[in-house]
Amino acid sequence: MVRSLRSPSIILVLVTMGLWVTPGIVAAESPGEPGSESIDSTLKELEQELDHEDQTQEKSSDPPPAAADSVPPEPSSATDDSLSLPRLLSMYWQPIWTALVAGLALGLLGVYVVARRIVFVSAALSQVSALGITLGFLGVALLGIQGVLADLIPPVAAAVLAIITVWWLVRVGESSSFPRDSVLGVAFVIPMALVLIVAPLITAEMHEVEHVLHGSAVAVSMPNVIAVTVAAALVLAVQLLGFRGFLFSSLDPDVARTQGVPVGLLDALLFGSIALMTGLVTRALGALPTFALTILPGLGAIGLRIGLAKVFAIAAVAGGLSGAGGFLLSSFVTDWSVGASQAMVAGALCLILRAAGRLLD
Amino acid sequence: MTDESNTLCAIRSLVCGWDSPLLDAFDFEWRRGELVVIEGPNGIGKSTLIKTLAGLIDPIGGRYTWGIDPAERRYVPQVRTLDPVLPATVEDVLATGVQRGTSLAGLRATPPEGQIAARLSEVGLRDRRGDLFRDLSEGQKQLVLLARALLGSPKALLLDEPTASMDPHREKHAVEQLRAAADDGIGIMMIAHGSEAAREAADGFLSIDRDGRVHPNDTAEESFHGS
Repeated sequence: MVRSLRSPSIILVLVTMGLWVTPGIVAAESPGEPGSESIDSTLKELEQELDHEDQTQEKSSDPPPAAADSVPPEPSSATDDSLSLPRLLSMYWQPIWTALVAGLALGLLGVYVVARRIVFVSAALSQVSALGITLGFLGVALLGIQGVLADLIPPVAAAVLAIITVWWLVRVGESSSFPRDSVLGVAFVIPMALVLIVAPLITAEMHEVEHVLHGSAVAVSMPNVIAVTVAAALVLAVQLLGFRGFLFSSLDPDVARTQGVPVGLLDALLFGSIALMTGLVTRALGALPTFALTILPGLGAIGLRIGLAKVFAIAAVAGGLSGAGGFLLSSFVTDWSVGASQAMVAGALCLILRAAGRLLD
Repeated sequence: MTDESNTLCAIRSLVCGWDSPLLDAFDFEWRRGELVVIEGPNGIGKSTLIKTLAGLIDPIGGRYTWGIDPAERRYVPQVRTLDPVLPATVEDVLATGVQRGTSLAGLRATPPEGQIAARLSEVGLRDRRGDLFRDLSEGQKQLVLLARALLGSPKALLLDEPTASMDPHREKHAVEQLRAAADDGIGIMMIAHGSEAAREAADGFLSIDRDGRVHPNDTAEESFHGS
């Protein structure tokens, strides 16, 4: 049976395109590498403020024992040893806030990702996005395009390929001959191979490709903060509004269809939300925390026997805690990288939730 | 001559299948309050017929015309098609029985107070309301799906092997309840794989032979000889 997906696809295209393109447009307004200017200038301003404070005030307290070593590598060279929590929050509110809201949205979506056995959706969409970005840069280089258009083409190409992949994922849900996990495998392997083929043609732009694709959990640019925040708010609003519809279409899609529930539209919205958040958070924080925040909180919460609404709420909270807590952990307790800390906090919360699930049985 | 007001679903030269026909064209008049049992060998197309009437598969040929609103029909799949990694409780699953349509209000609809407890009591599972659906036995899961289908006052039920995993005692009880529902005016079409209790309770049969021919019969005796 083939069902028309015109309406869901149009909605998906509009929402995803809008939010993918936003950081590109904002970044394009400032010169230099996309997304790098605002964080550099912010850090410089803060450094100057801190230097000024150090010259005029005596230190009132010693820093936490691990603080000197645990400041994230990139900013530590620009700051002093007396990093307190308020200072850290004021200096790094952008990555902390971004990790918090990204964790909330990805944690919630992660329950669906785990339950529907599409844990590789993040990895596949990252690869598809990488191919889009790479092809975009190739097109810009080959055609000699410059200015705002040159900044826009790579993320738009990535968004278009991600949308096509999502559309494909929705369609194959109705086919038994080409299951969804196989689509994810194809979407992972083929783009990876194509990137390797295309990359030698644009060696000059590969650094920029890496920068756009993998972001940094330490330095999140303002356009990415805005994009992740707006996207997370949208995703959470859509989930709150249509929560029971998403549940029904995930739990029992055939019966949902017979009761007139628009399963195709809801799948498109769900996979579109995952694509949107995965793409934006990967660009803002990097691939490791994105994958960790998508899988681990959901995997932990799904072991609880407390009713579905509470499972989703706990997964969202665990995701937010993992994102923000991972940053603080790397700053005050460990010398791990921020992304690794976020993944480890998410892993620890996952284990705690699974253990709680067993204890509560 | 048929009484159209009494017709639940009129089937005319219906050909069912996926890419190619599984069942030959047949006619059938399903009346309100009639319990129809579908019989036939494994893999012949019984589930395909039920899914076609439920609107999940487009017919390859012919047509069927419902005499009731889509909101008044319920489909119960084989229980193994539900594989809830999602930790849905029995109550969560039951509550989906009243969700309907594309509007937000329809998607967010919840059963009236007391309905879930009443339906669970009918199938003997009142004390399992807060348990996870996946922790129930296969037979208990089927009872929950039957209870869900009966929420919202349906006028037709399409059931795909609703008693397949039940022990004889539970099966007898479930069929008695379906018979009672049919006596209350609910049309029931069910695949009953060799269920003697279902044969005894049936008003009519759709018997499918090994060549994919569908034989509408009125009695179990005709069905037995026809298939």
